[in-house]
Parts: sequence; C-alpha cells; structure tokens
Amino acid sequence: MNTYRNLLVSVTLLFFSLGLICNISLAQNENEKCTTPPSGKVELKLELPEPFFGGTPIDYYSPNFEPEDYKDRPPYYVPEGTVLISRDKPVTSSVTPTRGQLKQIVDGIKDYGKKHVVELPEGLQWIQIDLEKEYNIYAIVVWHFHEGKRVYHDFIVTVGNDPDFKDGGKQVYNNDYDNSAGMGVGKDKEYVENHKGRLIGIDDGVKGRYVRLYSNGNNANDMNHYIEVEIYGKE
Amino acid sequence: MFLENLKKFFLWIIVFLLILGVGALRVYKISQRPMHCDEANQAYKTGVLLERGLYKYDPYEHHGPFLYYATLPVFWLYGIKTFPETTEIMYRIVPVFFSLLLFLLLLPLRNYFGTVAFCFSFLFLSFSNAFFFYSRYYIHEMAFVFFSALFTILVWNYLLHPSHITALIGGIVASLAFATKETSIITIPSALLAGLCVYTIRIKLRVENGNNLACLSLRRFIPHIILFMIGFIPVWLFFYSSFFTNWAGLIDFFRAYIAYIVRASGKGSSGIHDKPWWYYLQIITYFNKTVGPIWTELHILIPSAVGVIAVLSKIFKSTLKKATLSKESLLGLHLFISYLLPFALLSLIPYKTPWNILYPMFGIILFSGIGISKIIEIPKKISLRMAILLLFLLSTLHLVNLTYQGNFIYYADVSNPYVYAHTSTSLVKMMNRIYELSDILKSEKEEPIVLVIDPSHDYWPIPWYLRKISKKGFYSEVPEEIDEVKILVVSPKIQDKVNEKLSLEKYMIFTYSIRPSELRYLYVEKSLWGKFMESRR
Repeated sequence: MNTYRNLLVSVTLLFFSLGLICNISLAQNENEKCTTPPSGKVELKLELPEPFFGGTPIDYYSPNFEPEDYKDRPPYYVPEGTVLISRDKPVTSSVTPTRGQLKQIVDGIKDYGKKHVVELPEGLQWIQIDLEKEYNIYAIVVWHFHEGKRVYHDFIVTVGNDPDFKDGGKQVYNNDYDNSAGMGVGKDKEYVENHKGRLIGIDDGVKGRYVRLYSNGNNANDMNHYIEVEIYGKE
Repeated sequence: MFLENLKKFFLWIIVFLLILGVGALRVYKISQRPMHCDEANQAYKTGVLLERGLYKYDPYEHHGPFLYYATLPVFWLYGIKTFPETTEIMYRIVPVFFSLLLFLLLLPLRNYFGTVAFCFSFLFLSFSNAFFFYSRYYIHEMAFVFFSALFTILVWNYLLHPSHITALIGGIVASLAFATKETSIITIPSALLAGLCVYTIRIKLRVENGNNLACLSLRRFIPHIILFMIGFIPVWLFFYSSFFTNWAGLIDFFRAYIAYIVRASGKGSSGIHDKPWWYYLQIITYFNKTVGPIWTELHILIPSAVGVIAVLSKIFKSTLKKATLSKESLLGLHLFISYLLPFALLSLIPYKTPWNILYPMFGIILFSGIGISKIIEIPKKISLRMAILLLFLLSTLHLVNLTYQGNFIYYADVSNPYVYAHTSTSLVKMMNRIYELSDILKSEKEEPIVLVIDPSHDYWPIPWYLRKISKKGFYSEVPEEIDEVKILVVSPKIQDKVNEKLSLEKYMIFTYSIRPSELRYLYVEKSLWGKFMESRR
C-alpha cells in the first residue's frame, strides 16, 4: 500500500516539476523572442543620464495621458547601420532662447542640471535640427527636462526636407489632444518626463533632412525646455 | 532770475516726462501676469465697494481700506459700474500711480546730494526689479511705501521748518499710511525716532548754517502735536469707519494689531510664510533656485553701502573732531535710521513676504545715488570720473535686463524671487477653457454653470476669473446633483469623493494648476467636450 502511495506522490511531484521546468523554459523562450532582434535590425543602445531623485509625483489627468512607468523601456530595434546623426548639427529655433544655447541640444550632455537646460519663452515654440542631408530616420529621443516631474504640452515632432516646413512635413509624434497648436489633433500620449527621455520610434523610417520639435509650455510653467535631442538614422 | 526760473521749469518738464516714460513702461503688458490670489481677493472687495458701496475693514486680513477707495476713481474714469466689467489694468494702474509719485520724493536728494545722486536714484527706482514688479501688483505696498517715505521727508522738513502746515500735513500723511497698511506701525515711528535722533545730535553738535535748523520749544511743539492729530484723526475716522458706515472698524483698527502680532510671530497658518532673517538680503543679493537668471540687485546695494558708509563716517569724524556737521550729513542720518530700523525689524520678524522689502529698498535706492555721487568725487581727473560713471551705467544695463526678464519673461515663474505663492499661468488657461466651453453652452441657449469644489476653501483667484459667469458655486463639500453640472473645478483633496458621486464615464478630466504643484482638475461633460472639439477641427 505504502509503495503505491509513494509511487503516486512521486508521480505527482514529477508531474509538477516537469510542468515548472516547461514553464520556465517557455518563459525563457518568450524572453528570447523579445530580445532577439528582427532580422536586419539591431537594438538601439542609448546612453542615459543619471536620474534625478526628487520631485513631487503629479496626479496628472488628460484625455491621452500615459501614466508614469518606472520599468525599463523595452528594447527598440532599428535597421543595422543606424547611427546617431544629430550630434553637433546646426539647431535653429522659432525664437532666441531665454537660457542656454541651441547647440547644447545636440551636444550629448543629458544631465538634469540647470546649466544644461535650454529654455525657450512661453507659447508654442519650436527648435529645428538640420541634419545637413537627407537621412532615413528611425528614432528620435528627446529629453525636455528631468529635474522634477513635468508634462510638456503640444509636443509635436515633424520631419521634412523643407527648412520652412511649408508643406507641414510628416508628423511622427503629436500629443496635442485639443488642437491648441493648430496642427491637428494628435493621438500620441502626454507623459511625465524622466531621465530615460522620450523615444519616438519610427519603425519604417521617415526620410528627411530637417526635424522640427514643437512644444507649448508644461504643467509647471509656460516655458519650453530642451536638454538633449538625439536623432538616429542612416543614409 | 528769469533764466534761473526757466532752467528750473525745463528741469521739471524733463523730470515729468521721464516719470511719464517710466509709467508707460510699467503699464506695458500690465495684464499679462495672472492675478495673484491677494490681488484677486482685493479686486473682489473693491468690486463689492463699486457695486454696492460696501466696505468693512477686516482686522485679520486684506490690510487697510485706502487701496479699495483709491481704486474707485479709476472706475469712474472708465465709466465702469459693475465688477464683471472690470479688468486687471483698472486695478493695477493704482499701484503704478503711487510708484510714479515716489519719484517726486527723490527731488530733495538733488538739493542735498547733487544731480548725480538724484539721477542714479531715479535710474535705480525706475529699473529695480522689486519696484518694477510690485508697481504692477494690486496690493497695498506701493501706496504704503509712498506715504511712509513722504512722512519721512515731512519729518525732515519739520526739523528744518517746524511749521503748523507741516505738522498738519504730517498727520494726514501718517494717517493715510495707517489707512493703507498696518505695517505703518513700524515705518511711521521709525521716521519719528530718526527725527528725534537727528534733533538730539543737532543740539549736541554744531551744524553748518545752524540757524536753518530750528530749535523746538515745548510751547511751540504742543500746538504742532494738536495739529498733527487734527490731520490724523479725521482721515483715520473716514477710512476705518468706511465713511461712517461701519463704526466697528474703528475698534477693529486696534484689534488688528493683536492679529498681526500673532501673524508676525509665525503662529498658526501664517507659519508657511516664516523665513530666516536673511531672506530679504538673499532676494536682493543672490537668488538662483531653478532654471532662470541669477537674480540680484547688487547694482543698487553696493553703491548704497558706500553711501551709508560715506554718510556715517562723516558724522563719526565730525563727532570725534567736534567739527561742524553739514545738513547733508544730518539728512543722511535721518534717512539711514528711517529705513534701517524697518529693514532690521522686518528681517527679525519670522513672517516674511517679498513685497515687504519695498520700503527698505526705497531707502537703499536713495543711498545708492548718494554712494555713486561720493564715489565719483574720489578721483580728481574728469576722465576718470567719467569712466566710473560709465561703469555704473553699464552695470545698470544688466539690472535693466534682469528687470525686463523678471517682468516680461519670468513674470509668473518661481525662479523669480518676487513671484511668491503666485497663480500659475496654467490656471489662466483653465479659465480661458471654461469660457470657451461656456460660449458653446450659450450658443445653445444654455446658461453655463461652473462649480468649484475645494475642502480647504483655497479658491482664490478663481472667483476673479469667473466674475463674468453668473451661475457659479464654491463648495467645500461635494454638493448634491453634481451630476447635472457640465463644468467642474475639483481640488485633488476631494477628488475621490467627487468621483464617487459622479458618473465618471460622462466626464473628461484635465489637469491644471492653481499655483506651482497645486493641481486643480477640470471636469468637462463628454458631450460638451465633443462639441468643443468639433468647433476646433
């Protein structure tokens, strides 16, 4: 009798053990599936600045708000040969900055310290990066401000070949939910800024020489800020 | 003689035009900055006075009656009869007016310390960030500084010529200062004490042209005290009794000082305004908290320190040598005590708000002119003097730039030391959105109703901004039938309770802030939002 009972216990244990092993194996496979880049693509590696530890969390609501996520950003894949194409490229803006210099936006320094922040006055303002030739752009990463919790409004990113964007360019991001910028209602999310920056992925790429980024103040004040913008692409 | 008069006349014209020019700068974009909760509250009280002729002095809040009554002539000029018709400029023009009157008080400086002292004090008074900022701010401060500073000059004038008229006008001016702000309890006695010190020194030391400094006898002094009271009491009676409509105001005038002593000690809710003794020094020397310029008024403070040292050292030397004192030195001493005492007292009192710096700052500006006039006297060569003058003018350009930024760029930004517990521009956007939504309701013949819900009664300045909406309510609890209201402004403190009562699926929620880090949620009924978005496509 005991033998049968021991056998039954052993079989049950074996069954559950196998199940556990299978689950782990499946999860690993799943992970591998996630971390394995699609063919011809590589993971976009970003250098992130030190996070700022402080700032009061904000209970923010808006029709298209993305709640703050403290997890690591999932990997983003770009075609092989995609490189940073914006470093030290010419930057212009709708208006003279009130703090800092435009060249700081593409200098690679992403620290939250106030001396690294470029500030544009209130209202809808833009900065524009001239890549100096046409590229296929696959990712744009933006750090507006990360010394505290902030949400920037009417954040719109357009790419085009006309420096004046007379044709409007191609919008790759627009979180203007009420069309206050007058460039159409955007479906993208408003979000809380952090040290990870905002990665705007363009899976199929978009061709263009100029990248223009709009914003219209933030939840703390009406000013517009940029610490760094990185554009990734290939010829 | 004719030529002399003509020269004086043209000088007056130039000064007058310059003051007008400063006035034009101060009026430029005067409505741009959101209304501070104090401004809004005072505007509302003035609105009640305008519409219903009612004013009741509150011994606990809102300071003296003068500002409210002083605003009425502006409405008469504009032909305004109701509160909703009023706009920011109609209120803020009042402090601008008093800030311009302050320039006239610089004129005695020219007589004693010369044109250079006068010109630089004029320049600094025009472009001090503190003065520029608060001259466009509907609070009592600018009128209070004017009356207090005028009283200081009247005390000096009385020391020179102790006449009946000076005593009478002194009484009126002191009373007006008290009718403006309770802090007069510091500035008026300081000026009197300064006068007493100067008078005592004048007795002990010889003074140049001493005949011009009158000697006071008790027989002469008592009628002057009576005349002072004849000037003081009626003005006090008019204002604190609300022109004979609120006799309790006369008792409240005295009760206020109990409340203000408690407040000054930092007890109760006023504890949030407690700051270290060096707070005022900090905001005028070095202030750089967040993204923004390094704020400083050292351009004024440094020459001012030189001015003080020059005046005091001269008195000290004369005392040691038992030499003759100049009237210029005595006036310097009088001004020094008149402004230093309030500065020290205000710094020692834990309760501090940045606009309290204005009265001491006016003294600092007076001494900055004196300081520069003394500095340029040091070198003998004219070319060197001109170089020093140029250096000061160049440093003033930096001050002008900071003042420009403080008033036209960072006018509501916490990086600016004078932006204190200020309304966010975000609130103005929320209010504009409410009016846009109201217009849609009105176009459908529906009367807009707006409810503001905040358990801590922290509504201001929302009532000011909603003055044109007739159906509105301010609640500390969630009202019944809230579901029928299409526009709600909700404090995070009561949001959970509101969400429990509301059919949330019917509303869109948007985030704004009343002040930095103080959020307010705008609830808009979805169908109304849909119509609004239709209108914007």
